[in-house]
Amino acid sequence: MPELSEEQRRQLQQLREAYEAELPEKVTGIANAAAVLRLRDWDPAGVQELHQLVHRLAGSSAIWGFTAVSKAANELEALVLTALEGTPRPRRDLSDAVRRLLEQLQHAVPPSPSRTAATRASHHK
Amino acid sequence: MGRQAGGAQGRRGVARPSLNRILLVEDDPDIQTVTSLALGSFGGFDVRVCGSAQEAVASAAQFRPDLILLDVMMPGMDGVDALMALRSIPATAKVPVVFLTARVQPHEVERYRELGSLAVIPKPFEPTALAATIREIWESRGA
Repeated sequence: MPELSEEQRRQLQQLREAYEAELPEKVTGIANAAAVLRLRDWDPAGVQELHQLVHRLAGSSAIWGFTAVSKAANELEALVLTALEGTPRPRRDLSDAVRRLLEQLQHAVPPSPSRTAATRASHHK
Repeated sequence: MGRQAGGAQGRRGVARPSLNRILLVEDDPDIQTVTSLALGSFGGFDVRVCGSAQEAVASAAQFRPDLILLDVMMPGMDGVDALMALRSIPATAKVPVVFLTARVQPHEVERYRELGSLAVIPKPFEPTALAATIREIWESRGA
């Protein structure tokens, strides 16, 4: 691995922390897109949008080393792809599978430093 | 996952063009940011980021890239169609293209090679090593 300067390391670390702080919001966005999709009976445009969100999360989280997030997102992406490619599957099965994988994804997101601090503070009250 | 090298044959004694300007075509803002940092700040390259193939086609003539780094899975025009579009305009008709993608099944890599790509860099990539990887690919042209 090439040597980075202190400043470059700091830049990289800042970016990683900023990305980590946004992870819960990204997962919420995916959960919202999946909820809308269920209401719209899995319309193709909605499936495409969900796939794009999950694909992005799978790729970016892997680059930043959030392997559990990336793994869960990859599994969800594979499932959404089956819907995108028109593989016949009962809608209810699909929705249940998406819900299970979304739960995995939500559990994979590490607690943010601010949330951890808030939890710690509430325990001290 | 290995890279697939190919491209034009260099002639002994003939100076190869240097690599300065890289056109990155990538729709994900998070990956745009980290790739720009890796290639621009860490690698010293002049990087132009485009969020879509259409944007890349529009800015190619003015930017005149030495190399194009192309994502595959993008909404609208995907990376393969983007390659065709970039090949169809004079400014980028002969500019080497490297795919930066998670789609690296053997048959997919074979297709990129058949389309004339210089190499494939699999995602996820290591940000601290990306610039060196690109340089290595560039230097290996025609080797």
